Amino acid sequence: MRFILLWNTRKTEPVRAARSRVFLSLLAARHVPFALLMLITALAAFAADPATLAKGAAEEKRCVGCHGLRIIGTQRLNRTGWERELDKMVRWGATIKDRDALLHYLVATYGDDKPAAPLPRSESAKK
Amino acid sequence: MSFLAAGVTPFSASAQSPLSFPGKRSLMVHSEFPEDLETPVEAFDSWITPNDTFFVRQHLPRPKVAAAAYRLKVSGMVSSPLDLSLDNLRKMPQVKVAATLECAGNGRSYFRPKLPGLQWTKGAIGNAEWRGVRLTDILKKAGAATAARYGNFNGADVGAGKTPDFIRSIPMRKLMLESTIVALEMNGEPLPEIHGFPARLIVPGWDGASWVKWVNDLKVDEKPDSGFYFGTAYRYPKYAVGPGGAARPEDMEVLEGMAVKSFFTRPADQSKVKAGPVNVQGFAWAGEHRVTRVEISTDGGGKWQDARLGTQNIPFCWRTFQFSFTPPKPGHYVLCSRATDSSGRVQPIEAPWNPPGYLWNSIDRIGIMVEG
Ligand code: HEC
Repeated sequence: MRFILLWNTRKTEPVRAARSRVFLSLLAARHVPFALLMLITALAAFAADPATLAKGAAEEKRCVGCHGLRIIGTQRLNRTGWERELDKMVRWGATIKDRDALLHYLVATYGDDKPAAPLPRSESAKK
Repeated sequence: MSFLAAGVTPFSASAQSPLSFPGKRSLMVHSEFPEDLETPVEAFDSWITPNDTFFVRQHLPRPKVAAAAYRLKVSGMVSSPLDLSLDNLRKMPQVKVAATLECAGNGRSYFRPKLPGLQWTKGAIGNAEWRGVRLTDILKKAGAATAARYGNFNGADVGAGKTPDFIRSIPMRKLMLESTIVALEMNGEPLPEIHGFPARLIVPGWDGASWVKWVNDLKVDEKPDSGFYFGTAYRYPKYAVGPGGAARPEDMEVLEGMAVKSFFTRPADQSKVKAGPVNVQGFAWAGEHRVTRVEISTDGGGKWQDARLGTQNIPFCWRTFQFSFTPPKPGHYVLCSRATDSSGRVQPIEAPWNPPGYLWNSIDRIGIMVEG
């Protein structure tokens, strides 16, 4: 378990769910092969994790046109909050190719468990 | 408008590095496109907020309106529809109105559970002197019908894709007030582009969303607009729903007057101060009401004492407050401020949580460390 915890520095929801699945199955398993199988499944989920995040990040880059990315990155929402945001944006004309990856990325990066985003200060400007 | 009017070009999302905005000093950037900029608390140091310091809120990208092509169209339930140029407006009687402008969502970042929308802290507020034409004069000129109940206002800004247009309805009872104007000037200068050049509404005491920028269309009607922003977005539940709660759509009312509120500007939160008297300052305001009292606590809300209110006591404007605090000994102190208004409202310990995250007006609180 320590190995898994060290690995999983980004505690994203699917990973957390997978981890507790492994934990429970290890506890409950009478049969080691079954537990091993679960462990492998969980590791596969981790392996997919960075790739999903990368896909989500790429998807976010397409969310421009109507506004910049900062209005997205300054939000701190849970999964339900992000789902609602995506529904609203799609209603307003955004096109999303890989919604699952985007949602995964948004929750992992701008979840309501994250500290508030630092706001940059602009430089003084003339008229 | 659902299409680009003549003389209107959308501001482009061109790269901006370093971040800077026309006519603006250093501000907190929530969004560079559209521009959503917050005034840092330490920059509030005068009763009038200078134009370069004033916060900026835009739902839709800022349009560029050419002065020569500008028209304010007045139609609907009127006997003589108008098509007023900037010159026409300048030739009408001009009045000056000082008024505080606050975004309905100012302080949203403090609500728990967290809410979507701009994560404003304390600085989506400012006070300015506006100059322009009374709405009553415009409505008289157009011959508005007595049966009319609303003015539905639109500006030159347009959304991309299927983004709803920003239209705001304001009831006649508010439009008929002497202080409700179409402003052409802000603090003695032509309205800056970022604040709605050439014309914006001034709706004193009401939420910023009713102060329509780049205003170019007024439809006089029996009914309010039913679009997204007025029909759904700028609404507040009739009763408190509790943290994370939901209200039925029919229980959401249009937001009008703002809450009673105060906040500290000096000393800075979590700053170190030397032993001796500490000059404590801030602002208090109450939407359409008057601030009658500001109390200060220096022990985290245990005991309260009256602050001295500034002599400038003008309807719809914030008031300054001042309090001299001599810490009895070194250490950490929690300072609180609580405003009361002429209608009897008092700033609460905790603003009621509400789905859109509006009207955050909890008692302000800062910490200071007094050195030994
Ligand atoms: C068709 C135009 C459009 C596109 C494309 C778009 N948005 Fe938006 N978005 C808007 C508008 C309009 C607002 C509201 C701006 C305001 O009022 O400040 C907004 C605001 C937001 C906000 C701030 C919270 C809120 O609801 O006001 C978030 C977060 C957001 N968008 C996320 C996204 C994401 C993620 C994408 C890509 C999937 C996206 N947007 C693409 C139009 C768009």
